[in-house]
Amino acid sequence: MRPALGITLTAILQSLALAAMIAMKQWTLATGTEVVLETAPIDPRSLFRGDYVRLNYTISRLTAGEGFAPGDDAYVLLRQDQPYWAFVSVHRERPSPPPDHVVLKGRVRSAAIGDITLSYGIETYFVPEGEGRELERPRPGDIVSLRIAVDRFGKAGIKAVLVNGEVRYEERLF
Amino acid sequence: MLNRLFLNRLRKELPRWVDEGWVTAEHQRLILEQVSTQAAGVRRAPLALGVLGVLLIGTGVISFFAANWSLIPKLIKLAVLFGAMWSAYAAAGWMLTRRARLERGFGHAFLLLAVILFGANIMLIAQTYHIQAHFPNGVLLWALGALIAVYLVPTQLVAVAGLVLTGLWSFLEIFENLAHDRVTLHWSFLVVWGLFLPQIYRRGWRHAGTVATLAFILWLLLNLVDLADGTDAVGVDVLQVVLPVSVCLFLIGAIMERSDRLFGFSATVRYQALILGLLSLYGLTLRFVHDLGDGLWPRQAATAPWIVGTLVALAAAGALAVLLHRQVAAAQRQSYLWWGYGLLGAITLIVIANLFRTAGEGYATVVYVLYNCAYLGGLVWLLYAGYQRNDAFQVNVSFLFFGIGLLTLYFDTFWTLMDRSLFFMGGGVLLLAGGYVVERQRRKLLRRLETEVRDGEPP
Repeated sequence: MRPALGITLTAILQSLALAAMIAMKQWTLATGTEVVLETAPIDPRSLFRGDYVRLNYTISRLTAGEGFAPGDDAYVLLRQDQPYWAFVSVHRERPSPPPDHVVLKGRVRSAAIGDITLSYGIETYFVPEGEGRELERPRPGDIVSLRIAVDRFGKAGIKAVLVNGEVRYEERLF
Repeated sequence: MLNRLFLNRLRKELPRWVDEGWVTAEHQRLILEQVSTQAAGVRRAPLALGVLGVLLIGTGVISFFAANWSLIPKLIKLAVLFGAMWSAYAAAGWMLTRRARLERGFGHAFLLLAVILFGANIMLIAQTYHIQAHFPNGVLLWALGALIAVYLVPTQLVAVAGLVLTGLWSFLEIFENLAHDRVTLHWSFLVVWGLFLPQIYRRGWRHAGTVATLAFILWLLLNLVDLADGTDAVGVDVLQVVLPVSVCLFLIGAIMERSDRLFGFSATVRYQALILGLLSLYGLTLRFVHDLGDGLWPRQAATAPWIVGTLVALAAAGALAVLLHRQVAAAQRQSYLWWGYGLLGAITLIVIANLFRTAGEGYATVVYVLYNCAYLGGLVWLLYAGYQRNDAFQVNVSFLFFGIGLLTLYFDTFWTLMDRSLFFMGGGVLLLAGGYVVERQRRKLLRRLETEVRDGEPP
């Protein structure tokens, strides 16, 4: 194969892989059910790194009983409620959600005596430098919540960061 | 399989062939011209400069954008990320089609830059779009990007980078398994790693072959550590698997030496196996490994999976030895081969005996002494075989491990017997005197090897 052709093909295939990363994320955001989640106090061991915010949710730590091991997939059933969606149950297999419910897929990070810690792929959010601390440690009285989209496979993506119900950051394609 | 080593060897050998009347002086000139042209390929100096430049540019660009990332709109970010990667590919394409070697060398470097930028783009797009996934998957995607480039624009540099990334991916996966106390062998590494091999073989990329062998060895060791951690195995179990596996690799290297196509990869496989095997055998000569003295690991019989794994590795080593023996014509079978088979048999017996070890200290002491004898015997054999085969690397490594073994024996034996100050003074004298004697012997042997090779006498 001529070098020019090989290089062009390589660049195209690699660009397609990168574009697929964006497309999959946008598909989740565009087609997923919108869910508002309550954030929990940030784990004091999590340090703010530059313009990177670490997010923790009330559904990040659950009582699930035995049967989960680190690295396992877990499916969390959420019910629509006000102002935040509420936890219903956690399952090893994906359940069929009733109306006004969604299933969020997570991965077990740790499991001990029936309690599990989960990550959903929405634990980090990059914000302009210097603005992360405000989200991690909000002022007294300020409430930080997240509007996320959950697609039919249970994958989640952050759509917006809300402070006291007002949109502070919103996710757009460009 | 044409390269500079081959060219250098031809330059040494051809005058003798002319003297013998096997080739004419004109033929000698033509052969050297032809091989020089083909061996030159990519010149090292421009390639090295290009790689250095590429790494500096890559680091600078990433630092600049990392510092200002949050201020840049997404569309501009994407334009910069894709633009940088495409520009690097364009530069590589332009330079690779030039005739001058200098430009071709830089072309390969730009190709490496493009693959580095592809990896940076994976990370930066994940950051821009808040994509949080299983982290090793990002490295896997990067390695696969390099794999595509290896097939579409064959470049050894990118193959080396791709193999390093494949190793890194496996390391991250196994590290995660260890962190979660999961005993899962990372088999998928072999699939991606194996996909690089046909191209390395076809192109005769010796450096990529070296990295591929190294990546395989590291993968094997990491998996064994993970397996040992999950099955409560002890150090001696791991070492007793690594030892026959390294013998297998060494024999595979020796078999490859007899194939025209694989000859160029033989040395790297043999040498890496040699170091791995000597390290594992050295480990088995240590007192604490056998829980003698202040043992770190409790002595216990090996569990079923480790017994099976060790026996399979030993059987494979035996089968490969038979295969090698058949490939060597009867007239070429030198005495060191027979001594080697004997040594392999003795080590096999010691390993098997220690698989079903009891808790008795006397038994462990016997095994410990036998492993020390096998280590010494192995080194003597490697020296002898290295000398017979004119293999300077093998001779050097044997002397190095001989020195290490001597020092360890000194530490093991005298640490508890002598006053500490005397111990250190004695150790210093041993290092100076022993080092002098060993180095003198090594140089003497190498000089003899060189002389005999130059004069064309059989050793």
